[in-house]
Amino acid sequence: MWKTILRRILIMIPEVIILSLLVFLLAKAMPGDPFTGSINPKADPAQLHHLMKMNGLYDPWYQQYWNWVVHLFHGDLGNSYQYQEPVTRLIGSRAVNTLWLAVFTTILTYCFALPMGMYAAKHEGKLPDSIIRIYTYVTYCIPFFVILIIGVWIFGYVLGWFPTTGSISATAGPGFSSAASRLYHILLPGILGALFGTVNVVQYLRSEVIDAKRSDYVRTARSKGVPSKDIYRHHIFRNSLLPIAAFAGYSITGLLNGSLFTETVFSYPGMGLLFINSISYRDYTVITALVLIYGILNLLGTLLSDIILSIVDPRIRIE
Amino acid sequence: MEESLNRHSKISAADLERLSKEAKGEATPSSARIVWNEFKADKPAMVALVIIVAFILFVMIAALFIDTPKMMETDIMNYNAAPGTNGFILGADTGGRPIFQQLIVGARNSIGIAMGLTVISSTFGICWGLISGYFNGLIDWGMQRVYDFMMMLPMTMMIIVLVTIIKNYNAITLTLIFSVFYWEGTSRLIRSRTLSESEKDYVAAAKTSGTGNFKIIFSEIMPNISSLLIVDTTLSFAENIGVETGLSYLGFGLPMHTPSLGTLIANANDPNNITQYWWTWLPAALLIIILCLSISYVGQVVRRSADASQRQGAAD
Amino acid sequence: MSLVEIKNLKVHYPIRSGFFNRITDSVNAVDGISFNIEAGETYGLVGESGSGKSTTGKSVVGLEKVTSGSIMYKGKDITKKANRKSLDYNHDVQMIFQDSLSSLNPRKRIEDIIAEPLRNFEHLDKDSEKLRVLQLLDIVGLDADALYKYPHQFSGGQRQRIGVARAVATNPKLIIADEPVSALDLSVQAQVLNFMKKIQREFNISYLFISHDLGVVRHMCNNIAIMNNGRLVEIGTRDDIYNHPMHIYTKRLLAAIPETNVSQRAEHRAQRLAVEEVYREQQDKYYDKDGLAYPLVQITPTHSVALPEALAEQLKHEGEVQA
Repeated sequence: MWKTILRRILIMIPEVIILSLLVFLLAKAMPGDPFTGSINPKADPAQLHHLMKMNGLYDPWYQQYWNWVVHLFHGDLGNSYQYQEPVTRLIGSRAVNTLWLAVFTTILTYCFALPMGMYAAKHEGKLPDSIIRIYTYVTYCIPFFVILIIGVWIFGYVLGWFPTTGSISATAGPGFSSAASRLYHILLPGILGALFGTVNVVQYLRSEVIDAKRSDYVRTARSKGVPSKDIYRHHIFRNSLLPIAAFAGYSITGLLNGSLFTETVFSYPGMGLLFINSISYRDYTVITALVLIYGILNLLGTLLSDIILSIVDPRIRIE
Repeated sequence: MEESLNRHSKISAADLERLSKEAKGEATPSSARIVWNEFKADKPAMVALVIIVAFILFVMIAALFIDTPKMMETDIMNYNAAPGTNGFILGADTGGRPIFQQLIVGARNSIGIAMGLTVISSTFGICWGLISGYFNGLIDWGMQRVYDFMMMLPMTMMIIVLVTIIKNYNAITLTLIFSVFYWEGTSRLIRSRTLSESEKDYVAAAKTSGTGNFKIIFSEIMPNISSLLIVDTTLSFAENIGVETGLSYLGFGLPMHTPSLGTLIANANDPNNITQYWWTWLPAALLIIILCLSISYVGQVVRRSADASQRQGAAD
Repeated sequence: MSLVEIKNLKVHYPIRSGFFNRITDSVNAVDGISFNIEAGETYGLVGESGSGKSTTGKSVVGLEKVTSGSIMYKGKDITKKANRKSLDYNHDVQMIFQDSLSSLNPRKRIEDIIAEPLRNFEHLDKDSEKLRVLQLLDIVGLDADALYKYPHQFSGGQRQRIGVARAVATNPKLIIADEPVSALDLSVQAQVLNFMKKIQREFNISYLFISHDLGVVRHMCNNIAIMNNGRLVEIGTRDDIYNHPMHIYTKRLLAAIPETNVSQRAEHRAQRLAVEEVYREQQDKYYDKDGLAYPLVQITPTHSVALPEALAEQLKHEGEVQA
């Protein structure tokens, strides 16, 4: 087991190296430079030239890549040209917002999906099962960004129940009041994400429970007269819980990829919005760092889920 | 062989025509036909299919009669005209451009890109999955590593970076860029089915009958997973509508002056539009929802029909 | 010269393990077997499931990657792909599969299934191809309406006939029949076997008949090889195997043939238990210290058995005394 995990991690290393190279070259290939627009338009071209040289932008690409990697290992991702502050600090503050939203959404997703999956499996083939199947299906089919916009329109603007921008209100005081304000700001995107992201967990749980229902140990328990409620609670649900928990990894990577849309719609200052802004400012250092971070988070999320699943579910094995 | 066959069988060349005519009379409908018959029996699905096809034809043809550059000219006089005024059926946007016409051209563009993306990415994904699943060993291993790598890439971000690098992109380059990132789901599905299909004896029988590998893949195995292919392609089509519109919404899909359902929805980014001028973005949003739901509904019924014909023993 | 000569054939599957996925061990599905198949005869290959008999059959038809050893046909070693190609090997060597349903592509019509080897090897024009298919159907006892039907519309026995028709389509010299009837009902089994025999007479085909059922093999085969754990334990004519079995494994298999005569049920059972008793007691005498069979030693010109020299002599002697 440990060997397979270790091997998986070893295979990840070349993947990350190729990704970093790819990202670096793509960022280099982007047109424009970060200075022309940002400094005084009347600035002397010689001064611009000096700035470019200072930042090593005239070196050959492999030299620049090497410098970048060396700095990377010292925990230095460079400076953001746009914000004039270290990328690590910039992303650090944004990452907290993004991850906080992703974790919150995942928790809410489980709150909705677990009862639905159990209920559907309990009434397999009957009306509740069909309704839940149609619900998960419909929510899965609609592009999520459309839901976000309609959601923010109805609940944010028309009804005014939720804030429509930012991560915290300007008037929030310290301590509890700030935490409450933060929670209030992620409530709507979290609920929408959870309501429309149930399909995987519900369907996996449903099939898992139906399998368990037909298994011998449940039949034995039933024939011994264990009440049906206890069977579900103590036997079926408990056995199905870990594989379901494993979906958290996949779920968080999915949410990260969706964060570009969520954060744009809600003007929520996370990594996704930072990426969109950095693209328009050609802020290479931030762009490369973000793509790399998202790639690594994708890897880790999938790895986490794969490991949990392969431990608890012998049908799924790491190749 | 011929003499010995003639010696032991009472059938000779003279009977050929009569017998093959008799056999034709007894011919069994192909499984594609059985699936189609099952599908036809589902009335709501037929209605959905007819509506989708009619709608697509309508926007394709109607868009031909709309002069897009002229439509996209700014007309200050009709700034955010309300629906029904000044001959604007669905009103006008901030630039005084008619929403209804933009909706038609935008739907044409978005559906066209989704179709192109579906054709390219599904073809590629299907071939990738079939080849990777059929040849196990080193080929499969290598192809799986590429797959893993692609899965790690943050797709939306990569597409945005590529779009900003390519200076003069249009619908076709955009479709190609999307295709690079959207074949993995299909390929994984097809690979796992091909793996189990390759172990069946009819593949071994085809090998001993002297049929080559690629012919086995595409004319023996592929027909056996055809219902899966149809269902997956339909569902991908529904999903792919969201891909282009999503990126256009973020501002990295089609260029600003080419209308798409996504650029129309992007009108909602302006707080004034989203609250007061709902007609600038809501019709496009609703259209996307309806399109995605009806296409995937058709896909679901195709799946059910395929399962039903499987119960009859005709399909795989 | 024999039609096909198998020499020291080995098929090993690697077991990968450890950190770098190195090959650390292997499953020896077929572990050094040799026998010859003569033209026009039916050669029986018998063993329990997992003994490697199917793997042997697949190697002979060219479906399995062989680890070492050779299979000679027309003076060439067909374990090499290039030789199979240059000989058009599968034109001459075909296969009948155990599972008739899975061996016929469910999406193809019967005409296309039977014509497949013809299209690849003989390139006939359309009409003569169709005529050939019709004649083949006639020979295996199916009507012409089968032409445009799909495999699932036939019964198991009929499907197996279609499989046979496909196998004989190119008039091969050898057909590997891998448990061709074990998935069929008893009543249908005899039917299919009889007409396999009929076809053999008419087209002068050799069979490599793979089965776990010594009863069926007795009906079909002139020469028989008994396989156990990837090795041959006994080779001989039908008479050698059925009337003078020497290896304990062969005796066990023979004892396991179901007895149809009910009145002797008790006696039969007692005999089976006796053989089982001997097997348990003398197992280490018949197998080497790794539990594998010994190399074959010749007893008579037709009969070989996998025993240590001394034991073989002793048993041969006992046999003569008994006779």
